Amino acid sequence: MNKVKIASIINEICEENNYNLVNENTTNFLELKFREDIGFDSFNLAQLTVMIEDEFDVDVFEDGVVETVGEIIIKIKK
Amino acid sequence: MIFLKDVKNSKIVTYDDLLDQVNNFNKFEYILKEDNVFHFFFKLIYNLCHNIDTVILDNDVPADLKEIKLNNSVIHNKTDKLNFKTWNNLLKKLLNTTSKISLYTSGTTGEPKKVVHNARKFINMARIGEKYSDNVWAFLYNPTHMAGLQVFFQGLLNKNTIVYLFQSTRSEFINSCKNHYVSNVSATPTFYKLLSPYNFKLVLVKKCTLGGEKSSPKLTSSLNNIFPNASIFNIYASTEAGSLFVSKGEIFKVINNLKDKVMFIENELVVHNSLLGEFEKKEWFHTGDIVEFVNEEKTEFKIISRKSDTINIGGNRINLLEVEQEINKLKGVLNTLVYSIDNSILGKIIVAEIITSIEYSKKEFKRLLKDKLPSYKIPTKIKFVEELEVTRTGKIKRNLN
Repeated sequence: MNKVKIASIINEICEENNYNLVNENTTNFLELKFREDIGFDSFNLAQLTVMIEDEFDVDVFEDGVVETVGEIIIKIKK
Repeated sequence: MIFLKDVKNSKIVTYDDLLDQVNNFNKFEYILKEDNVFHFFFKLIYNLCHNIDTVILDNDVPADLKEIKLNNSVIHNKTDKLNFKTWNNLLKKLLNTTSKISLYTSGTTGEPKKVVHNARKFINMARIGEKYSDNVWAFLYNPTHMAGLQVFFQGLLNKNTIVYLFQSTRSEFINSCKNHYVSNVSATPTFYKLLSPYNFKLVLVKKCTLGGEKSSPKLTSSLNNIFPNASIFNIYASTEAGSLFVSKGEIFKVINNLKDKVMFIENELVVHNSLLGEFEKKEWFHTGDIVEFVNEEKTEFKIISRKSDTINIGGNRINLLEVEQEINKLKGVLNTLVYSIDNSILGKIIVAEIITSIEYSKKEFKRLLKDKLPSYKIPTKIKFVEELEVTRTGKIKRNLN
């Protein structure tokens, strides 16, 4: 469930910036790196923190920058 | 000796190449923009050697400024070629330049403000000497900004190698520091924050400088880990004044020769115009930065916050009132409040609370704003509200900051 929501949040940012969309059903979805694979810059990452915080009430970047989609899913579950 | 390594474009330029370029160039441009970093640097050196006043433009400065309209196409052919036989000859000329350098900064009204400095000010700010001769610089600032120019002159005047890494990613930075033996790093706190996770060490870095924004003790301690052999310095600098204070921690000291030129009014740092570039006639300049004193004599202080409506995100100055005005112009917008909140990635982000009479999706709304504002000025967080939460967050926060 979280995977679907996270993918839709990521894709909302991707759409705004004309990046390639992600698909939560691909095998490597959890390994995707925000910067290298998805193409996010720091402004996109900041937007991501805000959107995730709105949805899940967690600042996923609070104790350091997370690199992959999987790391975010883990933090939300905690 | 290598002058510039442009890592992204795999370009290497030596000091001999630079000398050749300056000797063989035969026109000058009043207005310099950074489209190609090497061209930008050598044209600047060329202008200074010819004592030509130069306007430096950031890509962010609106193209409809009067000055640009008037002078943009003016490129003069110069007939008297310079012929420096050695780098030292050029350096001598450079050290005695009478040129002025104009920079633009977004002022408190949102209108770009022009600040004119004597080029010699940049030269005098540089520390030159034998002990700096082995330095290798990671260049991480926008070259058209004050901090970028300071690093440029510091490197150039000591004939150091400059490794150009502006807008590089975390891994590009780490690899380049290792591959090119970088010894000096100077960047904004935001840049250093983005180097997290701090699971690497750059042992060759001897000096690490933070400037442009407020730093934190937590960040300094992280930097001590990744640069285990470096001294860490905070610099307080601005486009208007250049570097004013340097400290090893959070606490800045008013040194003796600045005592008569710096004062504090209601804890706001106020600077005498003799320390500033030319941009206003008033004797004292209110920086908008609020300090907290840590000693009774009021000579040592920490920077607490900025008083003005201008905030700094990742080295970009953003005027919150300007953003508010643009939002208010959009159809159906009844009222808006724009303010900043802390963010773990960028240090700060912009939030807009908006009351509208038509229903917008956040996406739609951002798309409309994209036509009006550069992307870094677009609020990261947009909240459509029934009434502005003026007392809890917005206005109180902004006015006190």
